[in-house]
Amino acid sequence: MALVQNTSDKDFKVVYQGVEYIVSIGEPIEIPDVAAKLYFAYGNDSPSPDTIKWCCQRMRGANPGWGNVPDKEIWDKVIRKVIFGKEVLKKNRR
Amino acid sequence: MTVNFNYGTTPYGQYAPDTSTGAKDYLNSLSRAIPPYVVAQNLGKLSPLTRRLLASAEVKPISFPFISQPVAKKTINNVQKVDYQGSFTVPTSLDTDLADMATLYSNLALSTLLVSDFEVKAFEQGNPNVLYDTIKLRANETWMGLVDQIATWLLGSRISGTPPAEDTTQFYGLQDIIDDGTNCSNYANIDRETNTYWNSYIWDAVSTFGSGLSAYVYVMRALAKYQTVASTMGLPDVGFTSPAVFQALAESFTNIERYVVADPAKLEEVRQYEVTGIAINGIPIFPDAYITNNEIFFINWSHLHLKFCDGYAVVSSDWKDLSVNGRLAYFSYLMFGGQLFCDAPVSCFRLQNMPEATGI
Repeated sequence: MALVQNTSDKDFKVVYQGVEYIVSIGEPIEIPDVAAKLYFAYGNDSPSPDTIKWCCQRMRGANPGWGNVPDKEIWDKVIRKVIFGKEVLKKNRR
Repeated sequence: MTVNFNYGTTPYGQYAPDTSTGAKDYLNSLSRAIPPYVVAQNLGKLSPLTRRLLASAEVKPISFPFISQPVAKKTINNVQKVDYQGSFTVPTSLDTDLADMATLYSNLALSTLLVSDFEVKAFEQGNPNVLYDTIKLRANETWMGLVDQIATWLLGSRISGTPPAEDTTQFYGLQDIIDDGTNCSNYANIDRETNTYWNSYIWDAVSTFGSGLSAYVYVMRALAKYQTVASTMGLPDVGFTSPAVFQALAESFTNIERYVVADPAKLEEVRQYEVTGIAINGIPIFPDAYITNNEIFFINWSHLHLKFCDGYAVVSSDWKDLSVNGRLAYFSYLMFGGQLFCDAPVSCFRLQNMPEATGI
């Protein structure tokens, strides 16, 4: 499992193997490692344009209403605002 | 009346169907002749998509229980331009290596065909028709049950339960194959997160194309979008959807229907109905009762295959004597072993959240 926290200004959810994980603003939540990789390119320091495209495509699939939001907006304003593991703990300790 | 005590030449009591009376051949020939007949008769009623998959299935000499098939995970473009000096650059690395090969596991589904004690005795008493009818009925039931299960697997997913778990002994289903990793993230041992080419597009009709559009418009837009994002694959061959989505799709044409009556004298008094597919942009779409979601699966037959393992391609076993289990009966089992796989999941796609007709 990967600990993630949403520091963007939008609530969203991720769906993995039929289970919905609601990632609310500011709420740390544990999601499966693979789901974090699929949606946020977790563990990939330099994601390729293709990887970015597919992360955004999956986010659109899990969040009805984001169908017409461009990749750049999903990537910059949501996915890049998701923090993981130690960063979550560090942030919440402060 | 004289009692026949000649056990040596005439079998008496409970005996395995053997060659001395022709019973073994009779049962064997029945067990082999009935299944294709039953399948042909009933499969279309069950699931047209399963029927199509079985009709184009191939039998491969594969060793059980797995098959391996090399697949392309990325587009390969090694085109070189030769300059005026006649020189070009030799590629320094190969595009395809062993790491790009997938191993697809093939699984065995097993069902049994039973003949009970009663029928065997009836046969001994000189009434083979009773046996024949019973075998026919049991074969029918057994085959329907087997094909029902196969259709559920082929059109479903092998990941299920809470928490979700993958049953690796089951056939891959369309929901595992036509997926973007959010259901089956490691399809056929290839990681969908790092291998972006191994994903299929899944679009939500309403959120991608806007709400309130006619059902056929969603399909047209999805096909147009697919052409722009996956042009190298060409358009898919066919779409399969649930009966409720199919009905909504048919009804969406109502407001553009026109009846042209050129010559009233030529009006036929007999109305004819024929339900085939609904062709939109040249892609026929069919209903399949085994699809229950509000989505359309667009399939490219060039890349989706059902492969049977040689030796397990829908075969029935010899008749076995069940008396060792304390039953005066014989049974034969049917084996169905193969795998459904796609060598390029990007060649297929799904359109979700389609309008549905209510009450179906």
